[in-house]
Amino acid sequence: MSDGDSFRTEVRSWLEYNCPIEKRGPMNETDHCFGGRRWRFKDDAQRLWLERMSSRGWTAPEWPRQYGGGGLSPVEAQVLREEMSRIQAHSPLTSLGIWMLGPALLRFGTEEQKQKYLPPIVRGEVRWCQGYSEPNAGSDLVSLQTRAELIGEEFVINGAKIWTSYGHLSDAIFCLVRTDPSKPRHEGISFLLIDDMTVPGVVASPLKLLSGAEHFSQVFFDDVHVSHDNLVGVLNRGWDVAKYLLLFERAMIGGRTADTTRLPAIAVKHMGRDALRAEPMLRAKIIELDMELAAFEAMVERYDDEAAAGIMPGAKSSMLKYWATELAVRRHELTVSVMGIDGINLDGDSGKVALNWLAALPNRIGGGTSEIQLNVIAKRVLELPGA
Amino acid sequence: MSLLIDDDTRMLRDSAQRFFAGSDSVRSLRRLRDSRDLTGIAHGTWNGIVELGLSGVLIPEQFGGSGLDTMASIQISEMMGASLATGPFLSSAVMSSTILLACNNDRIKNDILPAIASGSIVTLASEETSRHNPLSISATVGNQNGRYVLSGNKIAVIDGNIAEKLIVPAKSTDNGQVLLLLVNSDANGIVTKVGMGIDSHPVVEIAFSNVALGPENVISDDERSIDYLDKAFDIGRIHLAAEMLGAAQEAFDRTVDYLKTRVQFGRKIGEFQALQHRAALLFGELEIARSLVLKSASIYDTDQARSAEFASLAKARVGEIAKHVTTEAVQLHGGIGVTDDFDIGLFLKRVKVASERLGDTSFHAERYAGLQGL
Ligand SMILES: Cc1cc2nc3c(=O)[nH]c(=O)nc-3n(C[C@H](O)[C@H](O)[C@H](O)COP(=O)(O)OP(=O)(O)OC[C@H]3O[C@@H](n4cnc5c(N)ncnc54)[C@H](O)[C@@H]3O)c2cc1C
Repeated sequence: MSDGDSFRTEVRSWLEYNCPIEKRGPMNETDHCFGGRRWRFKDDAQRLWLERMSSRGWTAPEWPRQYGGGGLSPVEAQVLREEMSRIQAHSPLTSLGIWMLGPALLRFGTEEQKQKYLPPIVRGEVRWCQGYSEPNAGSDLVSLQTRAELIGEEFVINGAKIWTSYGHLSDAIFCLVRTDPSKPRHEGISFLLIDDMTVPGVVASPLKLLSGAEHFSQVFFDDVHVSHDNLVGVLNRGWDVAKYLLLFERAMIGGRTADTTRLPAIAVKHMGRDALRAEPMLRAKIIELDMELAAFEAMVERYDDEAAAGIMPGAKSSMLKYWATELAVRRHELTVSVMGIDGINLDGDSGKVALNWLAALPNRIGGGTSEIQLNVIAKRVLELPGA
Repeated sequence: MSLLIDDDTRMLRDSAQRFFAGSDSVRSLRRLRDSRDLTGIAHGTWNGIVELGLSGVLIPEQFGGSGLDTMASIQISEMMGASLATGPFLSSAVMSSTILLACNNDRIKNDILPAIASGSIVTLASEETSRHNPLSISATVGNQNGRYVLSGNKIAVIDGNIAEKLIVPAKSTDNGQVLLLLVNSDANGIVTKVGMGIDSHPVVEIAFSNVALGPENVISDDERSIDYLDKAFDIGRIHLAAEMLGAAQEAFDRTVDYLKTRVQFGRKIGEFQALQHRAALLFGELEIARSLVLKSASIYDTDQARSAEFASLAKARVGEIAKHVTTEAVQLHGGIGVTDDFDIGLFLKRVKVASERLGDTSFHAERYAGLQGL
């Protein structure tokens, strides 16, 4: 038996013993555990599952042990993912700290920053949000205006962020801010941590999505003071950090598959085989889309295998993001059709499917729009000329 | 099962790539096409394939092959597609070998498998209808005192103009059972008609009228015949998907190069965002197609219960993607793209023919739906 096999055996029995039964099975929107100082656990099982996984560092499997992570190799992390999905274990923690800030700190942070910020992220004790976009800086992020002035040992921040996911529910925000307006656009931006959003001058007010969910918010900064120690990386070189992180964001959105029930199964269950056969056009659409989805899954699987072998997708992660989100919109839209009028009745048994559809639309926009992902592929992967 | 290829397979891939890229197959295809040499086209690079040992890639060592898996043999089809190489690899080395290996007939295995590995050409003559419909078999075989008589018409016989032996499914006049028969292509009562396809490859029809056979010609005469056929079709479909992937990837790479060099309106046409986005989409589709080819091969090697589902998925999706990519490749070249002298259109034609063989997208979508319980 190879080492990989014995690790798998160990993981399997550990999960079998430690993963609460309530934390297995298809994961709904309400099953996510975001953690943080203000978090209310849905139930004991959610709390227990987070504690158990984070005590092994498995909320951040590949981070070094010294910062609370699991210290797993890419291959072992892949084994853990496979074993979790084998029993449909829920992800114990949904966290921008793990997906984005952590990788930034591991790459660009000081030793003090790593020790201070990473362990609470692993344990789900601090909830971070991402403050990049502004009203006039979306796809063209580099034109951002929020100003941070270095005065003595402190930065003083003024400006406004928008579309900040869960800004009104978070404890801390990592921001891109303009630290030198006199420099060319890319060269005057810094990556700054506001590690306590309750300090004076920070106001976050929620905005509703089409689905009705209060997902993102506007965040205003009015003379907010933070220590110079909160700068990540080099002053005015924040764009390097941002570029590095975008790859993680795209891979994260691309790799995420919320509801894995296959379309044909949904249709058979809801309509029955005979009704479906009586509608050959609908049946054909379901089959075609299901085949496209299954084909896409083969790509996700291949890229996972590559990642486990140490081959990183780089700019190819734009492609995962593009296809995952585009296919999800089509899939959910068709699911609504399968349900017919039941699918649009928010108060009926199937009302969830319309919300899933509406909730799929923003994913084509957040993390760089679909059009921007195509730009990235054209330029960075295909190296086409221009701009 | 990982979807990454191992070092041995990578070496095989690299040597196949070197061989086919160096075989000058496009120029010889054009030359043979212009002189209507359909025998030459069908043989193509076969001698080189045999010399490299690729004709025995799927045949176990005990029968004189190298006993590799599907993950390995699809690499060869992909490289043939990329270089537009011809030769009876799919028909003989892949599909016929697979049927004979699957069947329970040691005598025929011992006879024919080593012969295929060393270059004998055997093909499957199964199709009867212009749209693929493998289980509707009208060819008949009668049995009188241990002697057999075969009659019927087969079409779309891949490499049927050069094969020495044909594997022919036919229905027993006694009990309707499908028999698989091994027939010499020069037997009495066989008439072969050869036309030229849009890809310049032969399109072969073979008529059998009262062809006399003995028990030694029977590969299989029980209900498993259909399973053997299915196995051969599925591995053929996976290899056709690999071939389409190779052709489409090559057409795409050439198109991206063209976008970087062709100047209109004072700039490289690759600067136009409309074209950048089309190229980016095609790139994504090709990555999906590649993953699916690997996935279907890996499933075929390891999970028999799901191999039909994935073979159909690959044949249908890769077919659609490859048609899209090659059609766009022609369009993005402008006028030169629709010129016979220019190669890009040859990829389009190759892909179209491969996508029609052994079931097109609609056929496989329907089959896939059935397997999903729809
Ligand atoms: C659900 C959700 C969550 C988000 N969460 C966060 C967050 O947590 N933190 C954060 O900082 N931001 C967040 N965002 C913001 C997101 O990054 C921006 O919305 C996105 O980058 C697009 O910017 P915009 O909204 O200003 O649209 P615009 O940039 O104004 O785009 C408008 C349209 O123009 C197209 N377009 C723009 N430029 C080009 C171009 N060069 N070529 C072709 N087409 C182009 C776009 O694709 C789009 O279709 C979130 C957004 C959503 C929807």
